[in-house]
Amino acid sequence: MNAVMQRLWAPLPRARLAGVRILVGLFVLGYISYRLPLLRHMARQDPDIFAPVGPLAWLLGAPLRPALVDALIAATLGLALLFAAGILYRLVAPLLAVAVLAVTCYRSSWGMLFHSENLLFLHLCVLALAPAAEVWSLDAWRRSRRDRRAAATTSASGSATSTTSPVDPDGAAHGFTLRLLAALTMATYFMAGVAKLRNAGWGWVTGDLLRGHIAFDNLRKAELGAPFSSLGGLLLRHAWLFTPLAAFAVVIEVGAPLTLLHRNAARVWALAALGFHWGIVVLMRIPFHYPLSGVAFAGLFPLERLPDLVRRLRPRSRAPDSPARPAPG
Amino acid sequence: MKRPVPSTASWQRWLATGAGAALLALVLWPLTWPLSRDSYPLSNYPMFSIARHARRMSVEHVVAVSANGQRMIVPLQLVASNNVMHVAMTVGRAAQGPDSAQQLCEEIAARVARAGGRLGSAAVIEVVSSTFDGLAYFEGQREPLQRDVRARCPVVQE
Repeated sequence: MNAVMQRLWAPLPRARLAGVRILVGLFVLGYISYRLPLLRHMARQDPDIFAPVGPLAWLLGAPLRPALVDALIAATLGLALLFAAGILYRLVAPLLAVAVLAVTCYRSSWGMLFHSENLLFLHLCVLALAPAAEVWSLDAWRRSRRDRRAAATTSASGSATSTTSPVDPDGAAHGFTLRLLAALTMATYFMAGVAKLRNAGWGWVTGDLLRGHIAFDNLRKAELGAPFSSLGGLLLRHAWLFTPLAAFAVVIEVGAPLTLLHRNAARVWALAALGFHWGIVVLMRIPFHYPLSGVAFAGLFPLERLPDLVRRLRPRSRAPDSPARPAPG
Repeated sequence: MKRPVPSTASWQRWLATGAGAALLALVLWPLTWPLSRDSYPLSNYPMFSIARHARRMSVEHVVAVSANGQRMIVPLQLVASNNVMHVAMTVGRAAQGPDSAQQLCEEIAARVARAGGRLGSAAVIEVVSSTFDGLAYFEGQREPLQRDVRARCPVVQE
């Protein structure tokens, strides 16, 4: 048991979790802004269509006033900005999780569930309780400034003054949080794979049903007057293509939990899953925004190395002792 | 002097591990649900899982028909919104009952009348359920195998 605990709590860099926090916050900001017209339209629909789902089924019997929904959306956008910047994180993070649940749940209460929002909310739940703003945040910057001032006072007066330290100095909680985020991601893919096998059996892997879904989705879009995938329609005549595509989809989904056993396997899986989602866009024009953006898988990669990478890619400034270029004229 | 802060205490680790395991169990709980049940934020992720065959598929949609019988697609925003999934859901649900189909039809007819433009020649709006051969459709055979008109209403041009 101790070995399992040691593995679960093996340290990971604090900056990686902070990177995930920033990306998730920015994703919420972008996604809610992008969905703004639909969210506002939903709030102004015929109340008869309203069928609350999830926690709203217990809390709401009738739609909210549109102005209240607008205020909720505005608050969510503000909280997402604070979350990404790491301002008052311990307060803001749980509030953002609740706000995103409220907005997405409310939107889903008008008859259409968007399945890529589930994982976003689950990730926010975990981040809400995690020490994800210890670095790369305004909270951390303020803390370090306060500590520097305290240290300066100490050295001036010669008296001992305590300074604050990180909640998780060895990065163990960061490691655990990142592993939990990954486990939740894998669990949702596993569920989607199992649903296919439960509904259609192993016959799903032959590709006939995938071909049927691609035909149906594109045809429905065409008949409703929406843009559809011409390539998806064109490929339908090549039945043989759909067996490997369907097998790939099922392997990605059902096999997802196995990748938790090794870091590199998880990274290969994440890239394959990203390709799988881009494939859905190309063949069906269905964007599952959260995984498609890559943010859902970001914690599996060494985000902490990003600043170094950026520094290396930036053109080098001239060495201080190099001769200065003569001024023109 | 920097105050030493111990790493996450053992009991805190067990508590967090337990909470994480409980969250995972909650996410996996819908595996025990019937496949017809779905919710949010917990779900059994049924997308693309139902058995759907390309040779025969039914789609609920809306068409505008001109006086000379020409059939035109009504733009998404005149049906419900710019979001295709929302429109598909709205039309699909309305097509389930004669009253709801008629109500949606009349709402769309009023919007089409106000919009004018390309649909200025529309005389009638129909909410239909059409059955297609999905493979033949993308080889150019766009006519449905079967068309079931759920509601029809006139467009009164303003």
